[in-house]
Amino acid sequence: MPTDGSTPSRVSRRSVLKGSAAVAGAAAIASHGPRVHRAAAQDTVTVRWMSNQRHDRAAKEELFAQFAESDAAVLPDGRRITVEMNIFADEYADQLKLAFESGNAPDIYNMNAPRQEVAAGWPEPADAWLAANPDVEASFLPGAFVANRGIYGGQKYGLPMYAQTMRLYYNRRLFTEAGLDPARPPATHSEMRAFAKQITESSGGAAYGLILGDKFPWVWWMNAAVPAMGTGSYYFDWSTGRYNYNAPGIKQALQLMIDMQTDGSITPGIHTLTDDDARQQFSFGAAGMIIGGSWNAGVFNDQFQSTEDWETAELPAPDGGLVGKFQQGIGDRYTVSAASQNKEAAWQVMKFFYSVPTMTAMYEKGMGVMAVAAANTGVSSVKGVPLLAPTPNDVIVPPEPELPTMTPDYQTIFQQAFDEGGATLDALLTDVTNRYNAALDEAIAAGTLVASDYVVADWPSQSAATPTA
Amino acid sequence: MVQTAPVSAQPFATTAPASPARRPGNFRRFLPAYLMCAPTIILFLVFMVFPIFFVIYTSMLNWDGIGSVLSAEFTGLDNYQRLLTDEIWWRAVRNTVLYATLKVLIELPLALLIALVLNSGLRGVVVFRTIAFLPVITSIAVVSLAFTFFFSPIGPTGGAFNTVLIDLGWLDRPIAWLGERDTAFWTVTGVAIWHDLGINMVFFLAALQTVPRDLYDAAMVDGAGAWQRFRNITIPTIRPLTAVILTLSLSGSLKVFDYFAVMTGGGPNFSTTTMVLYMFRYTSFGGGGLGGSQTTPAVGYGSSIAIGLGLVIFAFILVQQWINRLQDRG
Repeated sequence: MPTDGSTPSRVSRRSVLKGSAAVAGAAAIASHGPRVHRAAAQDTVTVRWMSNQRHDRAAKEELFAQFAESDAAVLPDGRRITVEMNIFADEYADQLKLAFESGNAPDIYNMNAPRQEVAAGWPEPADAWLAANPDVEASFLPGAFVANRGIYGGQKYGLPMYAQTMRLYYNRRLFTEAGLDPARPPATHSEMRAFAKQITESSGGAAYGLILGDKFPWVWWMNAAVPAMGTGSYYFDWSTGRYNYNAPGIKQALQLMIDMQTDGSITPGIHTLTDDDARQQFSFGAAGMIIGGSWNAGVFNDQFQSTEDWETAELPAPDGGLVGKFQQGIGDRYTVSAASQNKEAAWQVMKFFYSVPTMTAMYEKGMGVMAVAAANTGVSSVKGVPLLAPTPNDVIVPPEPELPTMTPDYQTIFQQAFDEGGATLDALLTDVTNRYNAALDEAIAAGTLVASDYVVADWPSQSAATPTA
Repeated sequence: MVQTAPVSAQPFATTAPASPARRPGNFRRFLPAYLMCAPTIILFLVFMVFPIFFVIYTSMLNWDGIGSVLSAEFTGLDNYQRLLTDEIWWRAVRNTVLYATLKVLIELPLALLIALVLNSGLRGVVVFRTIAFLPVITSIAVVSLAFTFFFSPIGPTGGAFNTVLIDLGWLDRPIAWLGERDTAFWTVTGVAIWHDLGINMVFFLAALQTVPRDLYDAAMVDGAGAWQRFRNITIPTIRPLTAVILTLSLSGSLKVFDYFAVMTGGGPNFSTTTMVLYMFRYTSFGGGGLGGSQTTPAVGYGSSIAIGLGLVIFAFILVQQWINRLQDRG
């Protein structure tokens, strides 16, 4: 620093720092500018679509390409919309959180934990848009928007994409080789047990009657809890708003699995198999039957490219006949982000994607059962897909309470009961019922859940159960 | 040159001690050293100290990990109270401690034995050392997946392990080694010991090469046998490095996750759940695939599990250090 009062002849440290800070600030502001500004110069708007669903990526890309070429992709100001998809798998929850927390939220995303995301302010309420597009809201299956499913705090969030049905998949070749009619899958629990035994015995160890992969025990939901619903036993009783895992139908469904295990009809070592492993074994003809969601058709066709002669069937009914209906899901709720800079464009993409023609194309391409009722035409050239469409035996049940992680969860208890051969069935199911009800009481007492939200006055009448067909 | 301000320039020069007056000079003198240390210190504060305090804080919250941590309900020590009475947590502690004990009691002596053999001037030592070390450079996930197939019960004779046992007539049907409550834990532990043996063998080999050769020569001249040389020369000389190997092995074993996550997922019925696996169950959606589908993360409780896990490891390391000190004194 000069001491003689003259003007400094060289750049001072302070001015270098000031200059650096100014340049860095300008660069940060420039780089943080919303994408829409840069896009505007090119007369396009890019809508970022974030999802954890990989199975339908190709179908969506094809449909979005069609959209980009159509008039539906033109905004009122003349700009064109293009959709950019970001698909994540197991890391989706972390990526989504990171995107929102870093101010880089997608324009549209698949809700992962709707209640918590609404509380965090991530999704944009859909009420105004649905009110302006009443045909879209009316197109969904009943039960798409009820309290605690699509409605939180009195507002609607997200549009459901899929409404998966639960089905039995069976191998017609193994049925034929076992002397069974390949056109007649098991209609009752007894038939299922007998057919499984027959397939196992006739294959000489090359195949088993039934396979499931319960390395991760959640699969007991589809292998016991859902089949039990055919007897009228739902593990959550909406007439009382209480859990009841000790219902007769659940015991009956578990006993069926235990009996099949005793017969030697279930593939050994199921605790070492994931659901994916089990589906792979089925795809390669190592099992006669497998229970799963309507998503399995795509898995057998595309993921494992099965060359086996498999077919889809409804879940077997209890021996006394069907009393209840089988649970059908409704979810994969896509929403516009509250933080989106392109909301108008995002809603335009949503309107295209949730239109009946687009949803029908998704169903007919074998992507799954769609939440838009008219899309499930039952017509598809894709193997196994026609019989996935909802029937009068499928039902979208009211929402059940969302409890925090339970340990052990009921699926692990089902697994334990299966392992212990039924001797401890009553005690285990009573204990898990008590624990879930205690956790429910705790959540209600803490104000996390509202008890009356989970009580349906006329349950289990089918009006309360919102039949889908 | 160090410049110090004149004493008279200090406002309280008559009462202030001399040393503070030199502080600015010292700071300037050591500035390059401080700057060189700064990145490490900042990284340590950001990636170690802050997360530890953050986890301690979140362990006292009812937080799902999605919303803002600042708006989460403060629950005090409730999560810890729940942890103390959580039967599955204690099962996870027992599994982890048993795993770590087996690893230390079986793996380390085995590694030392192999290192001794390789250090004895055996021909082809490089080949044997490579073979022993090969599993270490293979990813744990890959090894675990490979062993899942190796122990598989699927198919008429199952995977390779079952096939061999059936061919030998020791089994009449395949066993689900990773799927039975009685066998899964031991099977995974066996795989982990096999995989990690090599790295400890290399550590011991390095330790053995620090033992002066002339000590052995002198002992042999005095008529000492192989066991006496091992007991009185090798063991005392490699003790400091053995303590380090033991600490690393113990802390690594108590944090085990990947072997069990890939091979068993913690099942069946929590029989192979470890402390870290149990923490993961609560901090991820759907229990990270380990729980039910109707679950939301309980990051607050997961954080209390993390603290519990840290305390267990800390306690073990303290005991081990105490034993080391006792041995050093003895």
